[in-house]
Amino acid sequence: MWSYVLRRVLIAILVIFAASFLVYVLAANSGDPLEDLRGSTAPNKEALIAARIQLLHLDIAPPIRYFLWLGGVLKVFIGQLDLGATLTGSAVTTVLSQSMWSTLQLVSIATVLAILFGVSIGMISALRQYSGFDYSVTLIAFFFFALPTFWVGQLLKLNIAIAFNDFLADPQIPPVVILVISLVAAFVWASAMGGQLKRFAINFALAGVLTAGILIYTNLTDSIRNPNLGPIWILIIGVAAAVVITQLTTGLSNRKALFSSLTVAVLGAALWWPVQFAFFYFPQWWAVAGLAALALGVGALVGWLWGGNDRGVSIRAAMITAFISGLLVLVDRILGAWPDYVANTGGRPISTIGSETPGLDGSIWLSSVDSFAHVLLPTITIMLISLASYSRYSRGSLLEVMSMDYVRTARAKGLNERTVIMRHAFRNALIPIATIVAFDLGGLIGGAVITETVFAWRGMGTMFVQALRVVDLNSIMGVFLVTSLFALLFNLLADIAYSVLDPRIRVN
Amino acid sequence: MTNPLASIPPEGSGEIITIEQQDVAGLSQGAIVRRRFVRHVGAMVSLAVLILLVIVAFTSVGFNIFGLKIPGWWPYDYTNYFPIERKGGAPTWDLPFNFGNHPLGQDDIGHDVFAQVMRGTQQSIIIMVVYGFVAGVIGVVVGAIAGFFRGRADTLLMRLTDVIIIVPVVLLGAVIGRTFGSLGVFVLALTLGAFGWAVLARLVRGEFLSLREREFVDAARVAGASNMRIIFRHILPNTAGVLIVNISLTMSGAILLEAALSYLGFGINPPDVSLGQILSHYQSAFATRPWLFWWPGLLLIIIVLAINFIGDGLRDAFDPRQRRMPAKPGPYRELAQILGSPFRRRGGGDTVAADAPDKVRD
Repeated sequence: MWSYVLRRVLIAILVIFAASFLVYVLAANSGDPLEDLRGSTAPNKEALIAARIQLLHLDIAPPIRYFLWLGGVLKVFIGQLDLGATLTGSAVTTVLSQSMWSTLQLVSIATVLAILFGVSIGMISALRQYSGFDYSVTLIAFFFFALPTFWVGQLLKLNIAIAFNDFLADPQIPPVVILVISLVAAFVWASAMGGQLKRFAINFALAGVLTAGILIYTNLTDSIRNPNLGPIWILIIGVAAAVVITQLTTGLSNRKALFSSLTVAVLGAALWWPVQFAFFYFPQWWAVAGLAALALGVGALVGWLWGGNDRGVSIRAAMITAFISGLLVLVDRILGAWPDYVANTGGRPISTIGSETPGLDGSIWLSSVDSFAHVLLPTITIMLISLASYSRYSRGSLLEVMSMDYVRTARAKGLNERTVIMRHAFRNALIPIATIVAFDLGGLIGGAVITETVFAWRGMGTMFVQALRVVDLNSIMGVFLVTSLFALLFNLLADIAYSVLDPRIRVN
Repeated sequence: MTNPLASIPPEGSGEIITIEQQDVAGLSQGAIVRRRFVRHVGAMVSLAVLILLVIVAFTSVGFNIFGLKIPGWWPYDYTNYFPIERKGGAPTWDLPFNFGNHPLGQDDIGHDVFAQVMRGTQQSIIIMVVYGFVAGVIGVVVGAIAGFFRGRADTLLMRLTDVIIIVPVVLLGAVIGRTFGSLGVFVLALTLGAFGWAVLARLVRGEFLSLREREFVDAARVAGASNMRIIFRHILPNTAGVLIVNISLTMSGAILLEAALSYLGFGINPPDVSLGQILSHYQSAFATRPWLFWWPGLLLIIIVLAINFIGDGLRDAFDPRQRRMPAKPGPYRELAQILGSPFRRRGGGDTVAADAPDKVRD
């Protein structure tokens, strides 16, 4: 195993050297880094040109200059990484570390959400193969595949964001929209639940009425202007989550697991009030992290106390429920900052540019809402397209697994459908997805270029585009180095993950 | 409803002719593929749309071939500007058939949007064809040599492939576009294609690695065929399915890549036009002139969607695992039966295509 990893890393390093040389020479020949100075009217033009030539060693031919750059990169082993200077003379490492953080922030949220939704949608459509849900998902995925990222981004930025902000000025959902949303939700739920006509009709009616009810309730309480969950909604959602999680992880027949997660859900709602004090007196992220750890600990304890002789299962269900309940309490607190934030942004909260509102000073709740409002549109843009591909992959993967002999064996020995799907099929279907996700993650870091440009997000993508416009070679190479290192790292992880998850594959 | 398992004949009992076998009895492989492809409604509609689009795009504004300019039937070209007819250059197309002079509108200085998007469509199609061809040829040759000869050639070529795959497509494309974009669409497509073959090469290699162990290769070798002949006459035709499908995906990817590069400003340069460039150029005007936003975007989506559907149809046609299986009874069918079923098809032979493995998107 380790010798395999070592060999892979050595090859990867050679590949990176070759690739960076290729990109260096290509990028160096793509234009003239002195163009802006040649056209300038400054009296000391000659001196400026000479200074830049000296700073960037432009008098040396690119293939040789590459080795100067490489020497700087290799200094990483003595702890003095030197990626050279930008055209304006600042160090690439400083600029890069800022933009790298910004890109990671954007990409990681989008990826996590895309995986969560994509895998669930794909798996449901595989379980309901050839249903209305399956056909709709397939068709929509096809459509999303064909969408150019920048076009979606512009559409969101120039139409949806403006329309949504207009809507937020007077947030009453019109009846027609309520009707349409309820019908769509009813169709999605009923199709996803499956079953014959009678069950389909019941699910359709239930889901439709429930959705409409929630939307009308939202209208009546003016919840879009003053969103908050409060202990009652936290209790309702928490209990629902507890039931769903128990059903998925152990089945409702396991009473101990069910009671553990229900207890945790009730505790979450009950602890809402004391936690508000903690949020008030310690509005820092370490406090939030501490509370999260506490929530998980309480979950584990409750599971352990209820558990009896099969503790692990109850503890798992209770901990997942505790995480969700805790998240709800946190979301409730952050939502509390929403009216304040709307007032701060002149009534147009959904932002289309940048990653934060300049000069916004406030609590961590306010800045959380601020990040959310900024990250929303670019995240949707990145998500839509990766969502389509993840849903297709996971659908294909689960279908393949469901036709395996061991699934038939599991059914034949009398296991119920839930156990067959969640224990036998689902886990095995995740193996190929894990590797695809790892592979995609590597590419996404570099692929966010377009989204970043559309939304003026100051990440590596924007840095790259601006650098390429003026042939700022060191910046280009900095971005390239980071993205290709990520790609290599995740490729390696993908291969190792495959061999760890699937014992039939041997890495050597 | 027949049981799908019952339709698979037991080993050695070639006498039983099943429904599937009746479907394909006496047909060559090519004919079976053609037949399946023609049955794929989405693919056929897409093919028709694409052909129509190609004809309209190339005849309307004319095109330039080796310096020889062939004029089109559309009275306006995409570089000149014309007096603005309606306020803001709004489309003169009154539904349904009163097209006016500028049916898709004009921009702020009077360019005709129809001429511009037609030129953009031309560019996308040229990119698609040239890129697909170049990447396809290089990918096939590299993959075939690596997979067939293995050993040192394989190691060398696959490390080369790694070198190219490791660079994110958009980054490499942007650097190339910045260098070659000003030289016109052909050069841009050629150079992009010259770096776009890596994924294809890996796939072809994989196919070759497994196919070269098969008996028919040994048979060909015993019969005295040369390596080149085995590669191109015996193995390559067997990879046709994988190849065609993935080249079609490469092509739709190329269109989106060019559009993205032109949007970033590293693709096709003014005064020439491309769909991505239009979207980039007018992006501040979309609130007031939405037709500048919708038409190029719509055309891009239509082209890419059409190619993806054709690729999907081809995959279904080439997939040997493709078989017809009875559709499961669902709520809609039950409802239709209750309603006395005006939609019921004859017999019990309701069929849907078996699911095919999902495509790889690069």
